[in-house]
Amino acid sequence: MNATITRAAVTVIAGLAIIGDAFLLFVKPHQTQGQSTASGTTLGASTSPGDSSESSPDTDSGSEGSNDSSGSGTTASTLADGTYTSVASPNEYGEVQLQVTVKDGKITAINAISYPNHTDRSQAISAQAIPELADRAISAQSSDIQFVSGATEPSTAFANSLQDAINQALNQR
Amino acid sequence: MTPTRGPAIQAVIQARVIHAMTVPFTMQIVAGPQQSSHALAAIADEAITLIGKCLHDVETRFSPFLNDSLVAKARAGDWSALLHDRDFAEIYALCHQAKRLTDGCFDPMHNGVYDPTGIVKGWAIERAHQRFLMPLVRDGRCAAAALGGGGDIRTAVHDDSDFVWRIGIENPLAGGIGRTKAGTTNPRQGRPTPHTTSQPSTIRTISLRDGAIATSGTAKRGEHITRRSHDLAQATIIHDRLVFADMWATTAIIAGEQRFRSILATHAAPNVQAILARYPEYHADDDSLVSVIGFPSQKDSYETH
Repeated sequence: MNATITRAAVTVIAGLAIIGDAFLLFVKPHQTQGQSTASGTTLGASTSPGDSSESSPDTDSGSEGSNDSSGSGTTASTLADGTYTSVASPNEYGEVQLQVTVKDGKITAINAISYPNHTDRSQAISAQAIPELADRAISAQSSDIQFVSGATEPSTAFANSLQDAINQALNQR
Repeated sequence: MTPTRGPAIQAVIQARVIHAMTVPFTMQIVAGPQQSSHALAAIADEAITLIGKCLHDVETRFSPFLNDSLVAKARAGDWSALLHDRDFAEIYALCHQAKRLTDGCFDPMHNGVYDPTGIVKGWAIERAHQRFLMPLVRDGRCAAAALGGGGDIRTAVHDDSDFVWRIGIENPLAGGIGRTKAGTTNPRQGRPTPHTTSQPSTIRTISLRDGAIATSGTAKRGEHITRRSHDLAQATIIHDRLVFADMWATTAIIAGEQRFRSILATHAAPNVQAILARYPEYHADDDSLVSVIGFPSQKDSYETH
């Protein structure tokens, strides 16, 4: 029942360009006529109507950095009661839908539902890395590697690191 | 004496460093044909400024060490960020997906509190790369661009360029890696360091155009890993997505090699490539210390010395 309502609400919201791509829908089966769809369903809505809601890295507000409620001013205490459902953002492993229940203005339940991807992933795009046998010793000057991937060196030790030496050698070319 | 690889002319690359989340991040962009070093430098200066702001913003919202971050608030019981911060919700969802995909090895609630640390850094790099470096590559303002920090690296190359990113995987058994320029004294060793050292600095070199690499190891700071198995000193994962490379690298360290291979098989992750560095004390002297997954054209194991 909730899934049906969500799909119908998505259809309605998608048609309202002013709202952009809301990532959470306010689903309230017992809602009365009075509450408008626009104001009640776009908590945390992005401000960029053009954004795709498909792959995770692209689902953002279009503004750099925080997606905080600069526009909506939503806080826990002003939340209307009901169940909020995220529009799932699929990735190659499937998708996860979040359901957040608010009662008396407080979050009372959080559920994360995973939907596995049943499509054949054997054709998935691969980074197609090629490993090679290592050089015995890498120095910034003699090697042609650009990055070192390893256990983290802290910022305080970076000046003695191979990555720092490589960066400096590259900038001197 | 290093064999030459690739084009005879070395690519012009500008590197910039920004510190965030207590970790140094390196951004590198590669010049296109006929692009001057000067022009590239200007592009690099602008890009690193934007990337720095992005990373610091992620730190402000997600650092568990900042009392008013969204993660700190969630730990204190206030989860309202799920409803007003899309990124917080996305990372929360990714963490739960990761827990299922890794049979619980990656668990955002380990130690009883919400800890998305294992994914946040990679997520932030991917976000910054997507927003500020991919447009440069697509528009042809550079031939290739990459961003890395804390062992996580995201790379991209323009279709028309033949540039290949080369990433050295650190040798987890090497001691401090000092500069090996001839004639310099490595203070840790107290003597001039020639090109050869007792331990090689890197164990493998990866050639990559578009993709992501993540390395987890026992020496990783901000330890978000609750170790259950000790037979891997380090795990490097190559994948399309940095967040999943992070997830699989963490899983390998926690699960140990055999269980890790089994989990990969169970969840049908065919495009996961891995370089695993085994602890010497868990293997006989003639065992290989490095094993690989997902490179069918290579032998499964190599001697490192």
